[in-house]
Amino acid sequence: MSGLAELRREILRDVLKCSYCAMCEWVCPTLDVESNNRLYGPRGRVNLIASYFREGVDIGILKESIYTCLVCMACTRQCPAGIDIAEDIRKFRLFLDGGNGVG
Amino acid sequence: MEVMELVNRYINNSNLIIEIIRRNIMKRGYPIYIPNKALYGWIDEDFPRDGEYFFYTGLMYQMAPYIERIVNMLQKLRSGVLFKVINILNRVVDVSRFSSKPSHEEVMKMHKIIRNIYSLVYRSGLSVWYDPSIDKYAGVLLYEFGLMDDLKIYAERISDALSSMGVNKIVTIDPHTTYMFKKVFPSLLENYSIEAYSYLELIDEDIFVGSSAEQNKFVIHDPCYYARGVGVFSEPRKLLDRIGVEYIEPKFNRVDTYCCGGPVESLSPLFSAKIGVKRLGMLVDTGADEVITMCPICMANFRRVSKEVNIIDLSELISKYIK
Ligand code: SF4
Ligand code: SF4
Repeated sequence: MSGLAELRREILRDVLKCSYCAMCEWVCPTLDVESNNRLYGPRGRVNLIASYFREGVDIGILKESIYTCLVCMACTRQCPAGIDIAEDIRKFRLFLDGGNGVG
Repeated sequence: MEVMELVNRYINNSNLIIEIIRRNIMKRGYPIYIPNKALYGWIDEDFPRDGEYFFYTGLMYQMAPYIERIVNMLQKLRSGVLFKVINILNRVVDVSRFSSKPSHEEVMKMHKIIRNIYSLVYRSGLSVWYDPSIDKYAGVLLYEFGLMDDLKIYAERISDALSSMGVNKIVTIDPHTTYMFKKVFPSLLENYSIEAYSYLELIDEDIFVGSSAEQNKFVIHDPCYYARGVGVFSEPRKLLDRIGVEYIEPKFNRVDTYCCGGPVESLSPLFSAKIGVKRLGMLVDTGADEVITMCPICMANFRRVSKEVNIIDLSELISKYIK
């Protein structure tokens, strides 16, 4: 398996643990910057990543959501499912960049 | 909605910005252009050229005023075509040279902070040494952008240079560099054996006179990468307590701190500013007159959004009380 496929599996396995509980959202600084659009919060980001891998999503929306994350790790501490949210988002940036380093 | 529209425009150009920054780091050793004088001009005495702990600035304090300028420049670039032109241009010349320069005062302020931190560790009795040729930017943005292949090459360069000079212990002065050396490099590099400590972990409390004369009210802002990244949050408080400086804890503190917004400044300057305003609001709402920061990125982002609030670095405050 190529490095990218392996990384994909690693991230996907983690984000699929999400139960939509929203416990991560209240600490996220980017969530209510302008609109309260869920895609600018951890739960939205985690599930957008999952959708990208499984069915594909609008790449413009995906980039906005992923590159506005501060990787500040506030959400990671809150998640009862133990998802390494900030790290998954940071790792996922590899895919958006064409897989620098694992291709 | 205007802000979100601008954010979108930036993010659509994100690969161009990332490419500019990536190329600069890999080719030139820093994400944006900074004159040598600004990077190493803080050295005003002969430092020992050998010792136990290498004083590793990681250049973040030196870069902060320049980052502020370049972010302002990016904020003005609105067209995708312009971004493309700039990106092509950057292959030949470093385009970040064209942004306006920070004032001499701003650069000097950062230099003073670095010298203060050096005094703090030196006076604590540690055997510290310095050599500008191996004090490099730690590749923080490569890490944040997820460019792991580049980071690996870059980190190897840094770590080889340090090893060739016999360095095995370093003192770091900002949270991002600290995180790279403590958490990222050990998992990325084989045969990595450098022990890294934030200066806050190494200061001897007994070097201070314990009688603060501060009239102002302070509020403390923890940087994410100290508090959540490497678990450094009680150390600064112990030092302030020892000196007798009173400080207020804001909403969201210690491991639950709230990001200053700085990390996304290069990709979406306006978004970053909005978060800066939110966090600074929480800090000022405590009734404090001054905000204590411990990270040059936090300091720069708060300064960018408000000229009225007094933002200081912890080291500026505590170094006044060295015996
Ligand atoms: S790491 Fe990203 S998603 Fe998580 S709280 Fe910070 S900004 Fe929000
Ligand atoms: S806290 Fe964890 S499980 Fe709950 S919504 Fe957020 S990511 Fe999903």
